[in-house]
Amino acid sequence: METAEETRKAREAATGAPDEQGAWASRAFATTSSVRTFLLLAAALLAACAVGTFIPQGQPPAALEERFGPWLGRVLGTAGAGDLFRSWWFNGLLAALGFNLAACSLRRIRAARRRPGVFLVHAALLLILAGALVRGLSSERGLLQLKEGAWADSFEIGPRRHGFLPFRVRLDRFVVDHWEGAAHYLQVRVPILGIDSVVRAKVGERLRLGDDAELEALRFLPNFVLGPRGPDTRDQDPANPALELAYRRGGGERRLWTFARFPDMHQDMGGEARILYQFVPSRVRQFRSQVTLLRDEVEVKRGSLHVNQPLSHAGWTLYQFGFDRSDPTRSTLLVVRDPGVPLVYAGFAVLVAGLALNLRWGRFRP
Amino acid sequence: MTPNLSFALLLVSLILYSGREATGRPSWGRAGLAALAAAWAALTAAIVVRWSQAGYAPLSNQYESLVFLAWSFLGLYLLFGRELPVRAPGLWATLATLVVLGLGSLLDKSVRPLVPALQSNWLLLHVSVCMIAYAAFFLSFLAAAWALAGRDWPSRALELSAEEFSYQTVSLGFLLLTLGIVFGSVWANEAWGTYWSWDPKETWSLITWLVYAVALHLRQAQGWRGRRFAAASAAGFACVVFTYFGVNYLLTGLHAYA
Repeated sequence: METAEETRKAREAATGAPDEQGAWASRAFATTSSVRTFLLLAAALLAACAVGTFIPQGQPPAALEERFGPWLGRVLGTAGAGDLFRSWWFNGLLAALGFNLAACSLRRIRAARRRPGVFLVHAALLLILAGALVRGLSSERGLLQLKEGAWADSFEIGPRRHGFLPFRVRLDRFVVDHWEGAAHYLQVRVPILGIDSVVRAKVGERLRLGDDAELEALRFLPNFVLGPRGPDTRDQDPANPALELAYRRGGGERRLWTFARFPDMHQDMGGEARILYQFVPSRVRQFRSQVTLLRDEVEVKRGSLHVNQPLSHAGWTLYQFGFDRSDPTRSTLLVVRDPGVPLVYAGFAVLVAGLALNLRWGRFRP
Repeated sequence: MTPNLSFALLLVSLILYSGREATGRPSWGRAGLAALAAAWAALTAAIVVRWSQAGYAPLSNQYESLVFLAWSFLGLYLLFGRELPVRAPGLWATLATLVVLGLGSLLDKSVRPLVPALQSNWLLLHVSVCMIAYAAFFLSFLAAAWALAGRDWPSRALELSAEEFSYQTVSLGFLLLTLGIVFGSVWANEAWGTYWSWDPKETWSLITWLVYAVALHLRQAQGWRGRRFAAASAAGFACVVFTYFGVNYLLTGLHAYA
């Protein structure tokens, strides 16, 4: 393939006159395709990336002013530092790097046969950038919140913005598995009995305290609130864990509430005993949604999804995103459509192949 | 079995290699190498035992990844690093591994059930490849540090050999880091619905990748050799350290469990 410089010289030889336009184009191409340009662009990109990690992203300008002061905050806000990776100049930098990459490869295309690995690497990076461009231009993503038995075909993109799926999603069942249940620990001090120990309590189980006393956990309320009918729980989210205990000694019984978040707030026991309550929440093992996808009231797919196991249909992918701790029958799904993913994955495969070729494994001798 | 046995064997190796430097006797060096190999075997056993106890690849938190990093570094050193023509390579490798294991000993070592996001085969692929890449960069850094310290090489041939060693280990680390980033991206797409979210850990991995890409371009296209390439390599390693440690403690993001 003839370079721009060769084309210019040929035109000059044919016409006998200096080809000024060709000279300009030749210089522009030489600059665009130079390693020096790559180094400058890479340095700028590196600096921008580093700055973007130190400045909290997704923040409004007011938050930047509060954090960095009015003057610096305004400067950073104007520069788009609060949403740097989506700013026009950052994406422009990526685009410039892409042009540089393409120009570099074009200029050195004759060396492709001798060093195919290098060209594969450059082609791969262009594929990845192309995939990212497709994502930027045409992808869709949002959140879908469903209770068991409910269905929806729209998802939330942002405040007051919705997108629509070409099918309906019905949440048939939502299950949260735990590694083990929540644990209740009591630090019990009864000086007159010489007791000072930590015990694990279970609701309905009696704990002996020496020969003369016992403690029984009667009831657990995850989010304690005083309702019209007395102690109740607002919901299942353990925001204010409380344990009702019965303390029995010498034929008598005292009932008291202990609060994990408020250790001083329990009934006065006249100095006879002091009980501190520690609540250890259960660890979630996995949460999974069983869904049915419907199109025109006809079931088109049924399946289960959980974290690391999404469900795909018609170019859309549903991911298990989260759940509501206050309502364990409500599941939150993330829906995504990204036509750029195959390009990016192809780029990944070519990138690794190119680097492996370039390393020349057969001759690797450190 | 914990890495404590490996730590003890590394201390023995340190004593033996120090004796080699003090006495000049090769037998001390050979004994030190044997202790180093035994330390690597002990680390291997510790990792296998923890894997069987936990029921998953022990790569889910900083402690486990540090132990794996020590294992990778020691393994790469035993495979290639002995060729490194610097003064007392075994001593430096022992010290480096002791530092890594020592840092690990300060962290929480308890085995905890995996959170849902980490329950994937990608955990093994992504983290292990990244750690081996870091180990390769660490090895390259040893050569770079020697060059930057201004030490004179006994011969031009050895200087060239060290420079080539540094380049080859950077190239190996670069390939593995690329693979690690690719694995991580594919996993992120499976778990979070996006292959790239400019999370601080991801961004600093990209920065590290770019710095090494620049270093390789400077060597290939601009003829940067010797101390200049060593400086570029050291800059890359500084990024590796920040990506691995700095991000965890100074920045927050989706990789919080790392």
